[in-house]
Amino acid sequence: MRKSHRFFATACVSAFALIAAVPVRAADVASFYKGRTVQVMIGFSAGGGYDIYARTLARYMGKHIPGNPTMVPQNMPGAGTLKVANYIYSVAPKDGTVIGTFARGIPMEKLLGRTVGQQFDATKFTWIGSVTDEPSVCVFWAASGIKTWQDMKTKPWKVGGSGVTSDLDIYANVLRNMFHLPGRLITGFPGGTEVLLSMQRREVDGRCGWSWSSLLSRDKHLMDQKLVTIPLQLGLEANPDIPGVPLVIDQTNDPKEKAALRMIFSRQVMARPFAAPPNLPPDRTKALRDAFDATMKDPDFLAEMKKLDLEVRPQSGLKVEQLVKEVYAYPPDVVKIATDAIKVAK
Amino acid sequence: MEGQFAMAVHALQLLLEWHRLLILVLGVVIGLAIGCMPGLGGVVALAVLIPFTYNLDAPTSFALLLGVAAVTTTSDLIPAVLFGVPGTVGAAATVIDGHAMARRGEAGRAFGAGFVSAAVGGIFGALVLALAVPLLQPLMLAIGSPELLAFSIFGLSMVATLSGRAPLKGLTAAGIGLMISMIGSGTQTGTLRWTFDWLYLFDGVPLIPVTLGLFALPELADMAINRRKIASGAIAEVNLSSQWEGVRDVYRNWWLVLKCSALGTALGVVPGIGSAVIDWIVYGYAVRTEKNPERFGTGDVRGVIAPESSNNAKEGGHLVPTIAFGVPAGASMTLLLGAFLLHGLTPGPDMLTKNLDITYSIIWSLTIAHVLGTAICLVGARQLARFAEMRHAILLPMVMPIVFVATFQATRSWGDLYFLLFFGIVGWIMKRFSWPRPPMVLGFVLGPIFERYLFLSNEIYGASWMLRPVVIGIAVLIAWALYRPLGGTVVRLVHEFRHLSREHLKLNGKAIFTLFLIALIVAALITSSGWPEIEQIVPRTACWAALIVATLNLITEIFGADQAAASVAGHGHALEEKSDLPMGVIVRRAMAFFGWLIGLVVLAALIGFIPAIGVFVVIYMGIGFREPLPRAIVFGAAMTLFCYALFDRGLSVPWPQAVLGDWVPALRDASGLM
Repeated sequence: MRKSHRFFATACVSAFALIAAVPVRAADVASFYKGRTVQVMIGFSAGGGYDIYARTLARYMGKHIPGNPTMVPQNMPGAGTLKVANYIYSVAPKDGTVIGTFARGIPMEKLLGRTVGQQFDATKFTWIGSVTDEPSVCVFWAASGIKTWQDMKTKPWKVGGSGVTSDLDIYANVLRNMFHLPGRLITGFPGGTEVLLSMQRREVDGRCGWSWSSLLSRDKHLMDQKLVTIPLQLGLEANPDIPGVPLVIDQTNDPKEKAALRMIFSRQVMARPFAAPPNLPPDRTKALRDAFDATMKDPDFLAEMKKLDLEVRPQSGLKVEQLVKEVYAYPPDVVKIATDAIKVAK
Repeated sequence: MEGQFAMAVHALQLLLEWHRLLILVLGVVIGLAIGCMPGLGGVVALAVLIPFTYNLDAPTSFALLLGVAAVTTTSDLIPAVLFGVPGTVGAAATVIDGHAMARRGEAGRAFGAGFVSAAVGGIFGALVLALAVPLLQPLMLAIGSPELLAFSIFGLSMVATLSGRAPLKGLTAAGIGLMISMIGSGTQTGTLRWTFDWLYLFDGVPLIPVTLGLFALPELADMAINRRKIASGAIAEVNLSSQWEGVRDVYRNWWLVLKCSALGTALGVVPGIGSAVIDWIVYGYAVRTEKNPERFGTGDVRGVIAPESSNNAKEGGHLVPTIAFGVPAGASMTLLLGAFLLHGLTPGPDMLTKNLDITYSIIWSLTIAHVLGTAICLVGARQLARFAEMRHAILLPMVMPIVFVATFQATRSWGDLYFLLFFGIVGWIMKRFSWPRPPMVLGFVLGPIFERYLFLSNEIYGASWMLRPVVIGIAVLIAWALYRPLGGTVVRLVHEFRHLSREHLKLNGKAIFTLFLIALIVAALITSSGWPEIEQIVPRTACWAALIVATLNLITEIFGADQAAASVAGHGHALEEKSDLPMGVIVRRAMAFFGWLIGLVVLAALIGFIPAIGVFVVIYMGIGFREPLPRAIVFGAAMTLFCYALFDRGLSVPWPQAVLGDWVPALRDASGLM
């Protein structure tokens, strides 16, 4: 009897909150989430890297949210994750019952001049955090003779790409445009794995844009057997695990070019981003962000991630938010340099 | 070698532990059930099941997943034969002869032949994979972009055979299929081609609405138009002895089975070439190579054996690039790769050394699943055959919602349903006017592969890609495939154009349909003129080619003597509905049929999918077919429950928001269905 009363009360409160979207008081966060489900929307099909990150997060994060809601992962692939980003931004209820993940480059697309189909303002998402930051690298097949950044600047080379909006293409174009490198981009491969296969066939020499962690966890043998070389790191900060390999940002002294590079490579910081719709009640934003941070320290979660060979170097929701805002605050001349740099180089 | 053998035995022992075997059986049963549902295939099943394998060890997981993936193309034969509606995208070719056999009362024989050739094909594919294990890496390194390009051209060359006696229509259909496949973001510059800023089209038109529209809806529409049972009492003769006849057919055609299995396995290796086209390519190949090709299409058992064996063989082929390099050969393999990741397995050299036992357990799972699947089907087919005895008034309201919700699984967008309807109407008209439909699917599936590898080959090798040995080998095969059909085509066309006359000028329905297609092509040409040149090459070449052949076709239609009816495979239009219904009735009933479907879409938008299904079944049966209301209500309730259990509980489909849910949010909250 009492139980059903409580259920009725909860239902009333939540229905009220839903319809009127009135922010509830902090003490109510637990009662709001109690017995509810929180959907974790994944902009990719089941299986891939983003999917595994999201599913693992979903299994551990619920118990760190007051009221312990059940987290239910759901795949919504489409339009290079634009679909899910639009959904989270404008369709999903703005009450903290939906979070989701999409391609790390999506928030920067608008800035770089690609706006078709976008129905969101990246700075207004309620950023929950990123499970890890991921430095990326340029990898060449050793037999190609491209071993160092100096080689990349002086010898001809070919790298593979997988479509103009992919990191592979963007990074290759930026390098060629900004540093006037004698390389070519051969694009149209279905994905990075196919580019690697093509490297092994010696059809192309390498790829620019390979996340360091997946290189380590899945293709370490290539490095052990010295089959590949790594001439350049792509990211905002040098990774101490990759000693002696120059960082792309340090290759220019022009502060504006540096800023433009920062703008383009900032996506590596928010490598596995999670976001909720804009304008969440502040206490639920706090609850979700706290829960995210707590999950990142949860020993069970960490053990599971270790088992799966997935890196965890958490970036808080606030940090991601600041990064996106910082990038969107760059002056127009910097934006111009960046958009020129990502143009398809001839 | 000895080590490998020991490893293979060890893997078999692993798999035969009772809990793994049980899971494998479970997978097979789920796979069979999914394969029976028109529109649901292995991809849907895998997407749902993969998260459940989180807590299983790797061999057990793959037993479950491969159990499912292997047999959907075994049981998809059942609706194909009984209703003419393919169970998965891979059974469309089986429909032609399989359904014709069922109408003759030989459903049992078609089942026997189909199931057993599926098992043989499946085992063949697994065996090739097992034998290829030591060679996987060099094998994959030998297949570069030029070879993949050559394979896709080989597939396209089958358009010639599959167009049969309507070459102009076949080529037009292929060209339009290719054009449709170019919709979406271009691979070279990311230009959005023919997307009209509609987000849904950014990834291109999905396969399921196209194949279900072209092959399933026309059959259902004709069922609604002709209003009769699929088969008379003869169909009940699906029993072990009639199936045994089919098994003997497989034995008699063992060479065909081997040929088609080999071709299916080889095509399976090529990323992108999946079951939706393998069945047609192999069907065309069988027509081209077998004796008495004119019998195909009239209910020849070889028309069942060829596609069924190849489609199950392809799974072994699919796994080659997946295991050796982590390159998925198809949508189901993309998901399977995800499962590899989930279990900390890295496709590549590790699978052939450190994790060789897993690789072998995959192969064994595949083999055992195929045998189990076929055994279960042979035993169970008799029960399922009873469905074919149902009246259209009961069958249609039951099958239509399943096709409808299954299509929605493609991308879970309304666009899926719009395209289902569009291709359903186009497919029905094509069927009526003797347009071959397979070339359209070939163009649609192979177009993007062709474009991708054309650019890659040219960029990497220049023109010298044409000189690679494997490419030359395939080129010879293509020349052989084209030689006879093309010769015949030219002779027939010359003959046709000689007999053009201005006297009997006809502007009938056929000509109007061709005009409609020409208008579409012209619109496509106009809207594509502003694209970057590199993104124009393939789509606009397809446009121009389609425009030229469509215009020639229009000339024959307006000025020519009545064309001899051409059929799906160019043969045996004998099985085409020779209904004596007047044209007016046919058109009216067709419009009613598609009207009901549109009504279902609208209803789903208003009150949500699952409630809409219930209401739809009741109204369609009660008003559409004048069944007694209580019966309609019982069936409506049963269908609602079934769809709720399968799609909401089983597949946890995220339903789109319905209008009713906007009005009464509490209802949305409580049910989660709107």
